[in-house]
Amino acid sequence: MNFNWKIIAFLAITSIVSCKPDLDEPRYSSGEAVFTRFVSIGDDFGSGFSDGALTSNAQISAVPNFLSGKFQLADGGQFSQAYMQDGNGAGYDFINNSLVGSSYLSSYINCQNKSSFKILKTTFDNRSLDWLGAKYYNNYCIPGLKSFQAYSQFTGKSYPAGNIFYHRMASDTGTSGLSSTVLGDAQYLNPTFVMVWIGASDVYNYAFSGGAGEVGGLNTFDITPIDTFEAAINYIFDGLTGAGQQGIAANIPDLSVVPYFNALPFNGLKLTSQQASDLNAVSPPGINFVEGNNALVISEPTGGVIRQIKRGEYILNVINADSVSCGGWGTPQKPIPANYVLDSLEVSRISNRIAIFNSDIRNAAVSKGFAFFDFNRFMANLKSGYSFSGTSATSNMFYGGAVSLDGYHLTARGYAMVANECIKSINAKYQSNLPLVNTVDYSSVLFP
Amino acid sequence: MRILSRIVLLVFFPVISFAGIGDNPLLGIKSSAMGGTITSIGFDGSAAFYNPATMTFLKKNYINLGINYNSPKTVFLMNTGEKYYSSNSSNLPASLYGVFKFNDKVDIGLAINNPFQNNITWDKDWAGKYICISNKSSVRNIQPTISYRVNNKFSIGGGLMITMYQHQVSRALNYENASGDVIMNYDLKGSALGLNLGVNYNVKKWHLGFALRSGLNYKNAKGEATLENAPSSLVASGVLPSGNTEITSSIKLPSVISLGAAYELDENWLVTMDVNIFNWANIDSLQIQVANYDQYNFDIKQDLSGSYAIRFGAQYKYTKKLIFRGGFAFDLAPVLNTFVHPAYPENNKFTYTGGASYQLKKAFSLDAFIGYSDINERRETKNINNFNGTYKANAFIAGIGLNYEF
Repeated sequence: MNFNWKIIAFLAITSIVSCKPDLDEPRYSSGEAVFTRFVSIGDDFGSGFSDGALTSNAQISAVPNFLSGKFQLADGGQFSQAYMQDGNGAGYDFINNSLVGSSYLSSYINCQNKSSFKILKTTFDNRSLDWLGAKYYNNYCIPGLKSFQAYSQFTGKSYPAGNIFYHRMASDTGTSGLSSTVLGDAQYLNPTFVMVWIGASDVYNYAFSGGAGEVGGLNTFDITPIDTFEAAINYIFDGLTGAGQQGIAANIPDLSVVPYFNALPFNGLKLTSQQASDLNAVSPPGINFVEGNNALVISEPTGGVIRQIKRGEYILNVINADSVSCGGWGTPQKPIPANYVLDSLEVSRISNRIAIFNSDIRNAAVSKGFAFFDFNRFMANLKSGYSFSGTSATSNMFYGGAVSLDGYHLTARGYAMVANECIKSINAKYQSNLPLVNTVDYSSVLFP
Repeated sequence: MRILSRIVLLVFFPVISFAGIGDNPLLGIKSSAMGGTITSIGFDGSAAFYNPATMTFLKKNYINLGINYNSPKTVFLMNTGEKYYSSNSSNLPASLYGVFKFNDKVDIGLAINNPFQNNITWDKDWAGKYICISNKSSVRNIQPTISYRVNNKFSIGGGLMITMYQHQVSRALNYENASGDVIMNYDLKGSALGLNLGVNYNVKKWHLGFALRSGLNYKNAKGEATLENAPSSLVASGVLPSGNTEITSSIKLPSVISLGAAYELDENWLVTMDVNIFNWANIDSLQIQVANYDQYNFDIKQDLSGSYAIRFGAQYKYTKKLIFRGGFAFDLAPVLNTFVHPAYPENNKFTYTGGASYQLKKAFSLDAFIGYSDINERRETKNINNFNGTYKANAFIAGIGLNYEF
C-alpha cells in the first residue's frame, strides 16, 4: 500500500516537473503563388552586396536568399547562389577606379581630440576573377549590372570587358567569342516565380563618379538612355514571364534617401566668429562666412572657379566631417573637388532619370501582375526609423544599423528588413501566409 | 453581485484579460495546498501574514519554517515561426512565521517572506533581446503583527510591513561588435513600508475574513547599470557610458484586498474559498532611468487593469496525525492585450494544488504541497514593442514546511 503511493507520487511529480509548455507552428501556404522554382535577376541590391563588396558572408543576406528561405516553408525549392570565396570578397572603388575588398570600421582620435570613425578597405580577393565552371544558379543579381547588360553577350567575358561578378558564374564565358547572358542563364532554370530588381546601376554609377560620365550613354559611368532602359526592362520582364510567371519587382532609391550623398550636410562647415572673419579676409567676392554653420566651398568642374555649395547639392561621402573640421576641406583654401560633388544640374538629371526609370519598372510590374516593393519609399521611411522587436533602425551612417559602411548598400539587418517588406507584398498579392524573417538575428554595423 | 457577474464572465471568456505580475500568494505551505485559501481561518504562523486577525483564534503558539519552489516555463512562438523557451527561472522563496499568545485577547506575530517575486530568463540571443533578456525582482518583507480578540466571535489585527525591493534586468542594446551584442545590466534596490490589516468573524461552523495589504511604493529606488561587451570606440565617443552608471526608479506594487469564507462540514472536513482583488489599475508603467543616458532606460509600458484571483480549498483529517488538503485557483492577468512584455509574459492562470501534513512528534509536524499552474495562451498581433507572437506558460510549484506548535 505504502509502496504504491510512492510510485504514484513519484510519477505524478516527475511528469509535472518535466512538462514544458508548447505551441504548434502555423502551416504556411503559397496561396496563389507557385514558388517551386524561384529565380532572381538584378544588380547589387539583390546580391547581398554590403560594406563596399560582395563577400560570401554578405551573400547569405541577399534578399532573394531570405525570400527563398521562406518560400521553402511552403512549396519553394532549393535556391543556389554563386558564393564568393570566403574572405575580403570583391568591390569597386569609384573614386580611384580600382578593385577593392570589403570595408571595415576603425576608430581613431581626431584633431579635436574626439573619438571618430574611419572606414578602411581590405584588398581585392583575386580568386573573385576565377570562373566557377558551366553551372546555373537561382540568384542572378549581379553587382554593377545595368539593365541592358542583362542580355549583352559581353557581360560574361572576363574583366574588364565583362562584369567580374557575372563572369565567374556565367554558363559560358565566351573565351572565343560571345558569352552567355544573364537573362539567358536565368531563363534556363524555367522559373515559376521571379524577382526583378534592376536599374540602380543605370543611374548610380554616374552619381558615384561625381557625374564623370554622360547623361544618355552606354559606358560605365553614364546614365542609361531612357529608350534603352525602357526597352531593356520590357525585354527582361517579357523574357521571364513567357508562361505567365508570377513574381515581385522593386525600384531604385532617390539620391535624397541614400546616406552616401547625405552624410555630410551642405552647410557642414562649422566656424567660430574668429574663424569666420579670418576666412572672409581671404575669400573671393561672393563667398561669405558667419559664425555657426556655413555652406561648404567647392570648385566648379572647369575654370578653377570656387563657390559655396547650395542646398540640394550633394557631397560624396569621400569627404566626411573630419575632412572638414580637421583637414580644412570646404574652405576657399581647400575647396572640395568637383568630382566629389553632385551639383544642382547633375542632381536634377539623376533625380529626373530615377523618377522615369521607377515609373518604367512600376508599369512593367503592374502589366505582369507582379507584387511590388517600393524600395525608394522604404529608404525614405528609414530616415525617420523602422521599428521591430523592441528596437529600430534608421538610415544614419554607422549608428542607424540598416545601411552598411559604403553608405549605399544595406547591412544584413537592413536586407532582412527589405525581405520582410517583400514578403508582406507577396502575401498581399498572392494570398500566401509566409512568415517574416527574424530581423534581430542579422548583424548591423560591427563597431571596433 | 456585479463583481460576481464580472468574475463569472471572466471565467468563461478568458480572452478578455486576467492576478498578477510577480504576485506570490502561495507562501504558507498549508494554505498553498488548499489553492491559497486562508483569509477566513488561520492554520498556523502564516496567519500573521495573510490575515492578522485570525491569529487570536489559533489554539496554540506556532513557529513555521517553509521553503517554496516554483519554476515557471514560458514558450514564445514568434510571428516569424521561431520558438523560444525561457530558461532557468526557478524561484526558492523561504518564509518564517511565528505567532505567540501574549494574553487571552492579544496575540503577537512575525512574518518574514517574499510577497512578490518574478524571475524570467531568456537566451541571450533570443528575438526579444532588445526588450529583455532576464528580469528578476523580489520583495523581502519583515512584518511584526498584533491582533486583538474583541469577543468570542470577532477579532481585528494589523501589521507593519517593512520591505526591501530588488530588481535586476538585463537586455541588449542595439550595438554590436564582432563578439556580439552590447548587454546592459540594471541592478536596483529600494525600500518601503506598508500596512497589513484584517478582521475575522467566526460563528458556529462559519469563518469569515477580510484582509487588506496596502500597496508598496518604492519612490526612490536606486542602483547601478553596467555594460558587457561594450566596443571601446563607442565608450570613447560617449555613445555608451564608461564605467558604472547611476539608475533610479519609482516602482509601485498594488494593494491587495482579500475576502474569505470557510465552512466546517463536520469534524474532519473543512471547505474554504477566497477572493483576492489586486489594484493594478494605477500602475501603468515601470521605468528604470539611466542617468545622462535616457536612451538606455528600461521602460515597460503597460496598461494594467485591476485583477482578481478566486481560490477554493478543502481539508480532510484522515487520522489524528495525517491531514490531506487540496484546492484550485484562478488568477486574472492584469495586462491588457497589445501590452504583453517578455519580462512579464502573464496571462490568465489556473492552478491545481494538493498536499498533506503529518505529525512527526507531539509538537512537530511536516507540511508539504505540490501544484501545477496552467497559464493560458496569449497572442499578440499589435504589440506596442512591435514584438508579436504567442506566449504560453506553465509552472510547477511545491513547498515543504516544518511546523512547531506549543
